[in-house]
Amino acid sequence: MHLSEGEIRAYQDQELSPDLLRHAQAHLETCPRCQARVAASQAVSQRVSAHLAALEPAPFQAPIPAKAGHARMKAQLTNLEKEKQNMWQKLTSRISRPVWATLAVIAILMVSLAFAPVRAIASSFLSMFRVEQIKVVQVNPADFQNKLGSSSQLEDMLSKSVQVDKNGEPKDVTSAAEASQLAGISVVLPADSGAPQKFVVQPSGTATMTVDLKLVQAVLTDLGRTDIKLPAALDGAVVKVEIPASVVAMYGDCQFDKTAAAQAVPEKGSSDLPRPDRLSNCTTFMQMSSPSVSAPPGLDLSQIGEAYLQVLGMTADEAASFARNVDWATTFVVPIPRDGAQYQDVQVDGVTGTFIQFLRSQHKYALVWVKDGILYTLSGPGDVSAALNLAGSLK
Amino acid sequence: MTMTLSKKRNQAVQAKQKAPSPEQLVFEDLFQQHWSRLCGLLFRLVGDWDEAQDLALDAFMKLYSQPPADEHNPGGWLYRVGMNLGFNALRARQRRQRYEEKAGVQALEAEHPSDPAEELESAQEREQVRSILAAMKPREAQTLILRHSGLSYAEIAAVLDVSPASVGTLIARAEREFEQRYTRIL
Repeated sequence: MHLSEGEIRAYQDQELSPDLLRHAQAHLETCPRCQARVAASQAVSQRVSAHLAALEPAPFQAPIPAKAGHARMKAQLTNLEKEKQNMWQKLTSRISRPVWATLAVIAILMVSLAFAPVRAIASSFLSMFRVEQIKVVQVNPADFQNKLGSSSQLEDMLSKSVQVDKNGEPKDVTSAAEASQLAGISVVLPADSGAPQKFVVQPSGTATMTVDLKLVQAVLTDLGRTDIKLPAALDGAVVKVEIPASVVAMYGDCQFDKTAAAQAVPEKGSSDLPRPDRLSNCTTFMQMSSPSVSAPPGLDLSQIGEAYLQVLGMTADEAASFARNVDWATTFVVPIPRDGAQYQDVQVDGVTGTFIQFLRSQHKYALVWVKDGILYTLSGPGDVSAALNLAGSLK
Repeated sequence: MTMTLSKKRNQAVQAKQKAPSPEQLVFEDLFQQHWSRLCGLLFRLVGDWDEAQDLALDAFMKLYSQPPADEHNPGGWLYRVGMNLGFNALRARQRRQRYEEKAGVQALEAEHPSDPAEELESAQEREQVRSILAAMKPREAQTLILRHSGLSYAEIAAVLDVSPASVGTLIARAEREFEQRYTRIL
């Protein structure tokens, strides 16, 4: 029987087992046809081999040694661990970080990103923006957190570029009148809820960021947006976020430790409005003059506004379409998790507010609205009617 | 590297990091045995040492973080995963290049040759060979690369998960297929 194609090929490579080799040799001695097939096969192999040789590394080229490769893998594993820890910290513990800094970064993102140049006043002075409305954007938190969590530059930017000043300490108050005087606004409270369990005025504060273009670009790179090039004029620009004093009243079963109180305000006003799961059966009502942000005028950063939305998890198309429908000059765009919350517009005290229902922490809500330059947030257990009842009883 | 490691796996990684376990020592051996050759093999596909090393590292990381259930053949698994990564990278690049200028010219620009004419020719040859490999059936293309990188029939069989006796046939077919495609484009 003639040799098979595979046997001929293995014969060429001296890869036949001893038995098969003997058989093949014996057969080849007497079979001109198989001899010719071996020759033909060898010719093909040689030609293919010559072509594949083009892919070979040049002489003296080699990868890094195996030991170095192994070391790299160990480093990657360690980094992976660190990233996970960092991410965990970012997600869970704003306790260790000044809450203002977080708020500042979000506000800075908004300024640099959200306010369209059309609205930037064409003066040589600072443009001033004030939050007049809230708009919710649904994001995929996993995407956002992964990207943010893996940004090694974000910490750097925070520590080097952001300065936070707080004017005094939180102060407990006993009456709406006292709170009004301290905060400089006309404080209202739910009429039927009795005296708040905790009633405190948070001091005003300022977060100032001096834009370091290289760092911002590095963060954008970490976020996977190397396509965005910021105008060189932005370098050194000073962005200032003014957070007025705020009044926080808490009702029900609330945690009154320092941390909870200190965090209550920025949480309610910042990107991740909702943390109601921490305060299980607690209703929190916060009011403050609308925060304002100032930045150099004429910053042509609308493209980054869309990038910001994309960083939050939108597709490019979604971001562009969302961006078109927002009055960026006055709107605070609040991201909420796509699969963890639902939201709707509601009428509160004659204005349109945003009601957010959290799906994962049994019937918690947050209700946010702005009226006459005052930003109100109400959060607690219940549904939309509970929230609106409470909001309707404010005096 | 994605960040979606499962909790369980993550704990496993942490446990492994604390002290060199027997498992980890075996892993060092695997590096000693396969690193250079796997890199060389991937270099043939992607033509760049940094990329080849990154891909090889990815394969090792995969082996470490999600070891195959059947662990008697980690080397074969490693090459199989590495080859898949390499061919994916190669095909992704081919897709990009399809819209671009003639491949040889790009390669020429990228590599700063000392002898332009000669380098242009070999750059074109490289791109041609790679585009044929990318277009072939994955198993046939892999067989060619494995054989040409000097793996024995037994090793190739372990990577492709076939019997050693069938390797000769696979190589013969792959070579014939390659040559036919090569002749066709000329």
